[in-house]
Amino acid sequence: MRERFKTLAWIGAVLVAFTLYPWIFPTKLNLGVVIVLFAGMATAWDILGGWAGQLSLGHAALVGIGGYTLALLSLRAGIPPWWGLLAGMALTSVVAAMWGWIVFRLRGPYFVLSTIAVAEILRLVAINWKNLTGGAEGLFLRELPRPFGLDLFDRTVEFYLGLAFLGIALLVVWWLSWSRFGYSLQAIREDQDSAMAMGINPTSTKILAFALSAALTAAGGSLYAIYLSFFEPHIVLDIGLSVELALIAYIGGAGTVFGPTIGAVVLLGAADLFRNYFQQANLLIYGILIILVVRFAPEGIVGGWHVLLRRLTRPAPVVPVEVRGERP
Amino acid sequence: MTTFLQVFMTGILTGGVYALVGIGLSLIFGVMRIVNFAHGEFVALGMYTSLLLFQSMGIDPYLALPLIIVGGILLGALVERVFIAPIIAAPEHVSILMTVGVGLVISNLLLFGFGAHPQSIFTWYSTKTVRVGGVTFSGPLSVSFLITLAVILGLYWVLTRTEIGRAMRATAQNRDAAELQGINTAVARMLAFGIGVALAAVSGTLLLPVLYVIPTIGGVFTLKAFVVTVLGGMGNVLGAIGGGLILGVTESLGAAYISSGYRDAFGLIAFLAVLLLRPAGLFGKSRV
Amino acid sequence: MSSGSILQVEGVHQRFGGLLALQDVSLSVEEGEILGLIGPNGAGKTTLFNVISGYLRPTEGSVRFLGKEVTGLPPYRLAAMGMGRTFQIVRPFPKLTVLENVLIGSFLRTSSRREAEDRAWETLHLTGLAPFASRPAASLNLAGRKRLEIARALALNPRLLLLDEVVAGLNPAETDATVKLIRRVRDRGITIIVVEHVMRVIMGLSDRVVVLNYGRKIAEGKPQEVASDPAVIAAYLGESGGGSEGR
Repeated sequence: MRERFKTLAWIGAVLVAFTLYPWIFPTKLNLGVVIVLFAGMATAWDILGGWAGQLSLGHAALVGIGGYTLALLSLRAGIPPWWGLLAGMALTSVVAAMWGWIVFRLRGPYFVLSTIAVAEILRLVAINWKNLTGGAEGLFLRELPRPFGLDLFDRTVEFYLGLAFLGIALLVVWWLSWSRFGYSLQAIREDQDSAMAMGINPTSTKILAFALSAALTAAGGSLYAIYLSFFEPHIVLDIGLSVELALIAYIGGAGTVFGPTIGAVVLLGAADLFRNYFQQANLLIYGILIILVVRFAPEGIVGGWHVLLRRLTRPAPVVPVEVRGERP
Repeated sequence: MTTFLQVFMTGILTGGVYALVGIGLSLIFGVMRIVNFAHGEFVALGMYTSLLLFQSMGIDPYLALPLIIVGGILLGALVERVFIAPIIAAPEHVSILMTVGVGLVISNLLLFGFGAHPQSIFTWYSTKTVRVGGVTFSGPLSVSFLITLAVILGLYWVLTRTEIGRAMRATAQNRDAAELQGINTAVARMLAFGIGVALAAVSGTLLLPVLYVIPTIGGVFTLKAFVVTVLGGMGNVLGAIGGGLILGVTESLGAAYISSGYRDAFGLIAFLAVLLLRPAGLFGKSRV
Repeated sequence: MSSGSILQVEGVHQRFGGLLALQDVSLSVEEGEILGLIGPNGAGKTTLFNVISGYLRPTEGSVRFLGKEVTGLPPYRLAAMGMGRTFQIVRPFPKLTVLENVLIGSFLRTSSRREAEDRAWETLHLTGLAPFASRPAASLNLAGRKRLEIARALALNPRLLLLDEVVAGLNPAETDATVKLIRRVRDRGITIIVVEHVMRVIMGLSDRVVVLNYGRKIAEGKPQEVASDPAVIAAYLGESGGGSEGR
């Protein structure tokens, strides 16, 4: 019980720390916006990938639908971006529910492959359906209305919008960390057959998780579209983006509240630091780190940290239980 | 009719190369039960190695093949030993993430070493064609199809006639039983991965005369390999040949008669349909 | 079909390819009893459990639970109706703590975390696992994990509990503790079916025993009657008791 509110306090502390970012790194606002957006989207990915254990490599599709919905509604119908964002969230959760309904009968590598296939098909549609999406030339968000006089293309405004989005994503996974729904997801991840014996319907639970993950990812995608202001299928619908979100969550620590955020800070920060050395090859760091994490710290940075703490504070916890069966 | 035949035969030739990429992936899955998400990157590696050999030493890609095969087996075995063997017993998402990581390292090292710009080689036969009846065959693709056939026959021979081939098939069927029979399954896995990588690299070499290469081209081939193996049945090596040909023809016909922009989508749609309706692949269940 | 019957299995056949794992098995479980299900290895005990708890749809035959036809219903629906089960190969959620494992069970009856946690603690106290509540389930030894399986199933607040080899592999002291626990659970009004290999345990615990051999029911009755049944003795001595080929 107390643990739960300690986590909530930590979320507050993390968000407060982030609010200082524009003052500390005024010249690195672009990086800041990308960090909070990717932290939020990786957290959203983690609802399905980490908490429910359903590794998706197709989340770029959801980012893309979110971004395209906002942009197209704005460009073609003059609908303000906040409605576009909500419409994108609604649309992606419906798409994800249908997508999940089709692919969740597949387990293991087959599920992963199917997410890639669906996302790739969607990318090809976006490239070819030129009348709707502008095809490979992409879309350009030239102007947007100014809610409360705020310029949505101002990096500081974008940063705080992104931070609000990250805050919501963190609150959602905080809820997962103690609620019935969250435990149902973890049960499915740990052992689907066993979960069924506990009264959990795996398919409907996974579909709900996918829809929730999708809606949040789309919200991030909408903000990302505003940040980019010009985007095309190779940016927001590419499998590379799907892989990036998954690796951020995994390297930070899948299925933990703060893992994806830590992953985003570490990976995007490092990629930025080394950009001058590696130019376009900045994903090299992702590759090296995921190999190291998989090999040596399967629970990611967060898990590795916990193991370290435990080693330092007390001996290994593997003590056999001596059951007596009496009431103590 | 001639047009149809032309389109169909082009599909068959392309399909031959797809089959070669897919067989490697299928062999690895069959023996090791892991999906190699770095598979396409090994195709790219084969391309760039042949490119380098051609540009710096003037070695023709076809002449480089023995070197590519041996190098591929060694590299694959090494990668298996260092990266895959330690996590072979872990849940499947672990090996997926591991191979994704290996693939990212390879493609980014290529990017680092060769730059992002498209490169190609021009040989005297790059634009040569062969005409049979009214149908024109691309010279390099025809040669690569023949080489593919030879490689497949060679692989078949290795799998059925040699000790190590039997070890790999035994490991594929039942790892525990194979170990009880005294088969060193660790070596079988190393070799399976090595051969799989070599096959991928060979297809890269065969495609070099007809393609522009970029360091990130691997992703395309990883996807093709997935489609081929799922169509043929995961782990079904012979099925992968059929899967490759079907994919090549589907793409070719789809691009010609439906829409060329959706060329890559036809395979993916077939892939999803097979995954959902016939998860064992189009050709039943036999493995390796 | 007596009025106090909580579960009826009628004419169940289960075929896996060419193998007939269950042949025309019928049995009925009375409310409040402990029914022992025994038989040599491969007799079909676990298969029968899987049919009853919805993990397998029987090739033929029907299952009725609490007076309702439940054949082919998925396991989670049966759990919600009040059927709890354990697995022969224990499978607690390894990364979660002991408390969280049980909590997942008690969340079936309430979505309130506070209520679920109270129930979980109650179950932990009943099963003697309370001192280990915050340990990861993976850190328990076999006895602890088996105990946790029972605790999770109990947390579902079941009417019927299926226990699959919950004492196999335990030492005598651990076995006695588990037997005591099973009796106490029954005293709370929960009907129990036990699959067990350890003959001493099942004979002492069960009100009634059903014997399976090669997928057929070969005997049924009070423990003493069954123990002296020639067909049962033959089956356990490894002769071809069920009429099928011996191995």
